[in-house]
Amino acid sequence: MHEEVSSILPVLAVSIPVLFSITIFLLGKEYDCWRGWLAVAASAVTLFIVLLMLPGSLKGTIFETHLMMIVPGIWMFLRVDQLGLVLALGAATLWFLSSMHSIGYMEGAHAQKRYFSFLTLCLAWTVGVAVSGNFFTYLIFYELFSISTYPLIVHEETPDALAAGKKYMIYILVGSSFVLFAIIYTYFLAGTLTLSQAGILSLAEHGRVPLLILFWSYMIGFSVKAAVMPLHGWVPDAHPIAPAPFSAILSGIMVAVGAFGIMRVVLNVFGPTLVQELGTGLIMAYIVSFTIIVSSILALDQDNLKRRLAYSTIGQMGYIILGTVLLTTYSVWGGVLHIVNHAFMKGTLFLCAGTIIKQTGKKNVSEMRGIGKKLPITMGAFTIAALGMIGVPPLVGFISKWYLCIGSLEAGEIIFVIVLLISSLLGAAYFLPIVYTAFFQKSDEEVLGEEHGGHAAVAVDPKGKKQLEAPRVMVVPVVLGAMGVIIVGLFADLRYFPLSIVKVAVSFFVK
Amino acid sequence: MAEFAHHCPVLMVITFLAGAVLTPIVSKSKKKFSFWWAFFVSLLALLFSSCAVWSLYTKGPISYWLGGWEPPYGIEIYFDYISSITFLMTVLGALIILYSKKYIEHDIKEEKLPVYYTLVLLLLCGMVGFSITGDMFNLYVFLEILSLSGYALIAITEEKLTAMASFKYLVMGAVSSMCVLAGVALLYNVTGTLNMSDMALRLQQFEPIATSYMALCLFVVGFCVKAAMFPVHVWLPDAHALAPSPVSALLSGLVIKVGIVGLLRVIYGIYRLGGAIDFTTVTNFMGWLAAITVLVGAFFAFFQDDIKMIFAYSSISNIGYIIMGISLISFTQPERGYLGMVGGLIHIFNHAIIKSTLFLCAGAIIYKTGFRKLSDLRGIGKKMPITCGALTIAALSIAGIPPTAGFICKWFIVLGAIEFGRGIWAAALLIGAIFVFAYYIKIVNAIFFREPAEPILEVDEAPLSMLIPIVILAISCLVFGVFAYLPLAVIKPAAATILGLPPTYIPPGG
Repeated sequence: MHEEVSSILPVLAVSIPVLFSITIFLLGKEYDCWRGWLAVAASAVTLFIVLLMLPGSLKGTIFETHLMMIVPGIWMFLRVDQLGLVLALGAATLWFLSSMHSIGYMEGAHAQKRYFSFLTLCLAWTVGVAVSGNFFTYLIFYELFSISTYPLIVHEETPDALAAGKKYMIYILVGSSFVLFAIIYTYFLAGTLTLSQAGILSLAEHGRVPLLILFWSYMIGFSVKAAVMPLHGWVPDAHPIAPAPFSAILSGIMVAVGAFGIMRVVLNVFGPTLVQELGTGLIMAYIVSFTIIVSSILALDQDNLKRRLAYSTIGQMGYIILGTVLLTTYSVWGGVLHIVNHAFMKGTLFLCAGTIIKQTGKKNVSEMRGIGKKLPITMGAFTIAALGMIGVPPLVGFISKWYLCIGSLEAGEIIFVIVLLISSLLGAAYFLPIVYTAFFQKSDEEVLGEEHGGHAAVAVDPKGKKQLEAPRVMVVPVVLGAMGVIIVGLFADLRYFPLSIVKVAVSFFVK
Repeated sequence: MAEFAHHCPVLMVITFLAGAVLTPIVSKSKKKFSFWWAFFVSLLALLFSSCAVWSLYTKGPISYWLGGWEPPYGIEIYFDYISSITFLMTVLGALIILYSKKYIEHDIKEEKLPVYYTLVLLLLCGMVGFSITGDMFNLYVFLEILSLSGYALIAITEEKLTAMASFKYLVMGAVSSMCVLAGVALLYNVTGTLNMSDMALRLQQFEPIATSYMALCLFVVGFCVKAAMFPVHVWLPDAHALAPSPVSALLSGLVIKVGIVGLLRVIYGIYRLGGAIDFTTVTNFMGWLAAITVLVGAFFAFFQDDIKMIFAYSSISNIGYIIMGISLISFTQPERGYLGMVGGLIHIFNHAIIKSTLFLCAGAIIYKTGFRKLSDLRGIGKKMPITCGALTIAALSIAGIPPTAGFICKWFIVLGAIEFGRGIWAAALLIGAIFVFAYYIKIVNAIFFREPAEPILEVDEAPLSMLIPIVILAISCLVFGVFAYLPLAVIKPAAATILGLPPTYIPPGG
């Protein structure tokens, strides 16, 4: 039911952010204030281009462009299938919110030129990953993305940031070496790297041992980026140290690109049938279940807000991979859908964390007493997103969790339903205290006021009253994110909403 | 035109040789004029080499009889696909001479400028001659020309340390030249000829005897010292790090590749063509050593603070890549070694470009600041953005990050190794690449993400004559990655002919 159409849209989606990025980099000093808005414009244009492909994609059209031959026989080949479109859509949306938030967050910060141009460049590479038509092209964008994020992670240039950056780089490089090996090995075995809808390998032709080596090389390689334990080491260091709007992207999309890689491997390279024949899917499912539980327990213990969110991300990536490797229709729905849903929720949470840091300088949960009164809108959005993460209906988190649970039952593995439920409980245990601290505990000033004067209302620092809420550029993205969390959850099944594309995407693979 | 192209290979050598000899004479009154002379000579040679390469790809290999004497009695100049490396040599030679203008005036006394340019031209003459000759003794002579000028160039700044480095190189280089000479003598003893193709033919007629094996081993040892493979790499780090930067670029980019060209000529030009001796034991051994070389070079580079020292160790690691690629050969099924050979050859090309970029950037930084330790160079990226940007591109490229040039080499060599059933070599290469990148992160961190120290603050961008070669080379690092089919158009027939396949050979599956 699908047809392939040659189109320039995939090329535009990748090249326009690159052009914007170069423009941002080349602008003179007197245009400093333009850089942020150019970044916003870049993501808006990209989002628009991706949306142009949406109606066709829903009908089953696949857009493709043969760019050029890199090595004889291997093309640089862009191909937008429905799975890629989901990631591209999530990325462009999150980038839009995050770049806008950056304008406020980065105000007065150093090296804005570098920040905004690399931010936009990363968008191009992410979209590139999403629209890659073969694994060779995928590898190119994947590596470019990994490298281009480095200047953003070490943006603060403090020794801590550099150490985190180095750790990140080494983890990612080891991972991508495994991926490179696996891709070359695939090429050797199959003679092609096309992302076919039926898988390009077969048990009869290639034998069990090479396929197992290949599968686990891929899994190890992508697990580093997808932060599957025990390969998650870079995440808790890199996320808190990066500027908050970029942490939102790191957490919402970057790690999801790793999970997306696993999806491509399972669905496109091996194909669901072969993975089931090999029996590796279930082992992977147990590994990620371990990740989900342990990361949630570790998150309980973190006082640094962004670090707590980072551990939560590790667990959420587990959901996506779990859904993929269980390989039932509903579980894959849940997994793919969770890429977008998680990007919305975690993006909002990190942006809120950014606003808190920018407005009050507070990084630890224990210092956030009474912050809900100072930043009511931000903390309101935070609460909505946090509830979404826990999986409260009708927010987006509930939808993906619902399908994941049904999928697990469909696969006959009740244990994963239990894992998901425990993880939700733990999620409540590490998110709700933040909300409680922010809204229902009294801030230090209030406590001081009560001790001294006895009448709290008067004793609030008048200065504190003035700086109630963050500037509009920071509030708007957060509110949009929170609205997304509600609306996409409430009207999940509406046409043009993520679930509708996910359904088409998955229908090609899992029958 | 065809007539002219026929003379081009030998004209290249003559141009460089005559240019070298004439340098002191033309610049007798005005020492600085020697630069313009050398630059002119290198451009002239570039013209000849482009003509020769063009002719090679339109009409096939050029066989030129020196003085009209018919081989095997006369000396034959044989310009084949391997010889197309001369194009790379002349291009890099011209760029590096351009770069030398400012750098070397700053580094050595004015009256010694002609000496420097004479030696550079002699070095280029030796390399070009080495790559195009079809005569074994000639090969040895050119090897000595390039080695001797190399020793002298390293020590040209007359510092104590450079003299030491040069001496170390001299001792090892002399031993390796002796090995090569002994190999030539033994083969002459067996076959009674010095012409390579004749030698190959005659080798076929004899039973494989110990002397031929012995000669092969001597050649391999000799050329591996020149190429700086583990465990005979010890001369390289000092020599390459302490030489003036343009010289380092020449040495690391081209001179060590001469050892590889020698290996290709002897193993594949004589022994494979001869077909009498199964050399796979030797190539296998070379391959394992190459895998160790990759790791050792990368490992030691990690602990260096001197930027040029880091680059020098990384050269060792990269020579490991190349030798690994060309060692993936099976005596009975030549097509099995095809991908590895393509990888090895393309890395000769790409590594020459990448490593020259790195050394020239390092040179520009040293020229401007006088510092060479990473700890002193913090924050230099903010003051010299173009140079440091080029350095970063080259660093990414050498780590094999797609879509830069280095990635293509990694792709082919790893693919070749896997296809050959040598997964461990592939693993060694990938692990080596991680190390390589880990220390380039160290460099990038130091130059871009640290606050500049006091002396760095007054530095500005390098002069134009240095920036032009740097930028051209850095752009090539990207271009030859994205448009990899350009160098591959040259390299694929080269790899095929080396393995005895038709030049138009296409491996199964594209």
